[in-house]
Amino acid sequence: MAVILRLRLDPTACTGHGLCADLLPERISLDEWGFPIISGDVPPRLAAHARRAVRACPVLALRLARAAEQPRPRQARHRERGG
Amino acid sequence: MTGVSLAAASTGSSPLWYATRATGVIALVLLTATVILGVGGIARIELPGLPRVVTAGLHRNISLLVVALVGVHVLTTVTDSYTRIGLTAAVVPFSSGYRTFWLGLGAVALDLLLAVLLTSLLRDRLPYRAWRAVHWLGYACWPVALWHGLGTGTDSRLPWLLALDALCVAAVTGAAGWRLSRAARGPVRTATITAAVLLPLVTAAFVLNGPLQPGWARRAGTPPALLSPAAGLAWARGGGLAWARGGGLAWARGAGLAWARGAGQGSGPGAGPAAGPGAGLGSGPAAALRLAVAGAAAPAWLARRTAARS
Amino acid sequence: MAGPPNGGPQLSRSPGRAATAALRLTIGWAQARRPSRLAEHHARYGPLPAGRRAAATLADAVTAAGLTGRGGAGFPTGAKLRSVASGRGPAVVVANGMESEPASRKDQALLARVPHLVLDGAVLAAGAVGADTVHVCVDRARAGQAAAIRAAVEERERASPDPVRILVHELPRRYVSSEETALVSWLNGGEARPRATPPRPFERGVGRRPTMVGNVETLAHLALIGRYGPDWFREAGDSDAPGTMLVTVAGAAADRGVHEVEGGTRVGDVLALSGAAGGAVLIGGYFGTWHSVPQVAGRPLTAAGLRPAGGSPGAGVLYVLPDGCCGLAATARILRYLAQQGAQQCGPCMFGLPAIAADFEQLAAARPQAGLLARLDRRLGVIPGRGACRHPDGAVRMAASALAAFAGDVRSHAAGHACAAAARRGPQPDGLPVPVPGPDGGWR
Repeated sequence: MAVILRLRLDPTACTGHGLCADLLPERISLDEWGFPIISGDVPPRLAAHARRAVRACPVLALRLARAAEQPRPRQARHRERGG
Repeated sequence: MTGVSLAAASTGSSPLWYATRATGVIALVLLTATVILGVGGIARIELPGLPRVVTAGLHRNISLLVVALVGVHVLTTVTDSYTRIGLTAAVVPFSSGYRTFWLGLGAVALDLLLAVLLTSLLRDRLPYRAWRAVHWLGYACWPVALWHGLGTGTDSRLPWLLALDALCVAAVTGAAGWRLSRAARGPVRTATITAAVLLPLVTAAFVLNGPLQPGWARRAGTPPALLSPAAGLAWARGGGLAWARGGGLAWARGAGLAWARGAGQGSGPGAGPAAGPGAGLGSGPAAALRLAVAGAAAPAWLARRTAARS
Repeated sequence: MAGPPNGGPQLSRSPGRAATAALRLTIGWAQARRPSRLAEHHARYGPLPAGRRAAATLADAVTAAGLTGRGGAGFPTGAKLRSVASGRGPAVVVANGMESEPASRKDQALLARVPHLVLDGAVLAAGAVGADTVHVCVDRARAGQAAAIRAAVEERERASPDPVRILVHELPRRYVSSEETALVSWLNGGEARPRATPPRPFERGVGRRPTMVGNVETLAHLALIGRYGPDWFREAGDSDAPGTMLVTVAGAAADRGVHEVEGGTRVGDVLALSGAAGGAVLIGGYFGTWHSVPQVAGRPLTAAGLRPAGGSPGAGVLYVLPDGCCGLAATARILRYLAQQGAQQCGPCMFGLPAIAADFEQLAAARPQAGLLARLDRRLGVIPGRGACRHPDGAVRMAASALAAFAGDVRSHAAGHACAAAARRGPQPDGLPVPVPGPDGGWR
């Protein structure tokens, strides 16, 4: 029974150190200003790396929890065509 | 070696005492490295081959090594029955009879170190601000440890040690000063910059007027029983063991082991494998140095392995 | 329920205009020179319904009436009342009169003319959710507003005290300070910055109590529903936008200002009512969307009506771009303002908004750097959804709508040619109310 984990970032705490992107490049990339973009949930094979990334954050802005217990992060789109 | 051992033997030359001094010096050097790595992390310094995670990992692992070395330092001090420093004196500041103030500073440094260690282990459960406040107190750990070493240290007169201390002071003052120059303006910043500028000056003034002057041991608070010159001559003739405690001259003739403890002069002419504990690894301080260098290389190796794996 | 007693507001329509202005909240505003006194208020609208039965049935009446929030989000008010009422412990009501949207005037006008209607609504809401306190929040920078409301509160206490305590607070003027969680944060002693949800105010807000935050116009409508019932409310408007709403028309319009229209009125009719003359309109305030007038005139000014065009009515603000003014320049000014007004808490907003403002300034000046449009497109894709509040999301949505609505201008500006109209006549004042950032008053 695979447990999917979800990364959650506290955007007010994050100051763009970028250690998380170094340790989990499969799911975290940095925008041009150094702040993380999280792209998707964490499958079991990446769980250990994700935990290391969470521990590495100097300001403890990154958290990891089970996907089922968390709301999906807002995916705001800037082009709304129809719907 | 005789000249050095004369000075070194001024407060005894048991292997425990050597270990105490050695671990103290190495811990201070590694603490310097920890502070610099910490500043480098906050400053987001990234060098080729040294990504942020490695800097952060080194900072953490070297500080753990510092804690381990200080643990050994405390243990060897406490088990060395010569100075009768108890375990409580190591954590309760200013409670020892031996050089009360200077040893007490060591206890203060240890308490600060333990506070930083504890809050860092419990980081997930503490509010971030609390953890950060204690971590900033850790900056104070460094000068306190330095003065503890200069005040209690047997080796405070050795030129190479003074040079090492000066190097560490320069490194920490430079790093901390650079970090402060990027902080927000305000009274806190002004106060800490003033402190950073005053530190080397005050330390230099202290060293020149303190440990480098004769009679420092007595002024620093060494119990009279351990001071030179004290009453009594002790003679030991013939071969075999010759043991002299307390102040005064201790003279051992003939072959065999010759031990000289206590303040003051101790010489053993013609002793065979005389004056030299830790003969296996070589003399005390050098042995500890070799051990500590090996220990310091371990976290760097570990960090490289971790970075390579991820 | 029978019609309102003693000649209360029948739905009156002003004759002789293509569009219809409905007068319920705005009766007598044209002649009013000062806030209406309590006696006049009771003469016009009748007494405030009191008693436990009225309180118990209010939430149902409001739900049946179909009232939705008039602060911009459009959340069903009845559902909100019910959520707060079912929370644990005594509740709190907050009347949001901040109106931090620079082009909007309706809340100020309401509080200046009929403060008692707003206070009635707040008191009725407090009865319905079991609250003992009402906090009225207004902008500190609007001189005299708080004093006028306090005078109205004192007038009520002298006549017949309300069953709840009414406190008036003055908050710092920031674009984001009128957000629900920002108000709650300030009332709890902190700064007027939005907080990352959860918990939402209706669960735990002021003093950790369930909190009902209502726009002052919503509360005014609520006060009338409490008197005349949901059927009366539905006599105006249409089935999915019942009742009336206040709109503010700004920019190139002869009859600029606040108008009350029935729900479902078409955008074109609202523009005609206010004598608007322009080719493009920004609907929904600075977080809204740009549209070309011909494309949107036939659509109702409702959430459902504008959704196919990618827009929403927001707080009912329409800014009409004068002919001869450049929409891209107006957008650049708005973006620069929004960037400066952020809470400065989150990286993507703090750095992203000034970056796209600079991009738009380049575009408007027709001096684009290489790769400007591609860079702008990438940034607009990356900024939304990564902050603690919707401030960056709103700014990006507005910017993207400008690129679509002024597509022709975008092409010519990107090629280095400025607007033909602007080139002909030189830059015109566009009447866009972008406040010049004053000295930082702080967040407290």
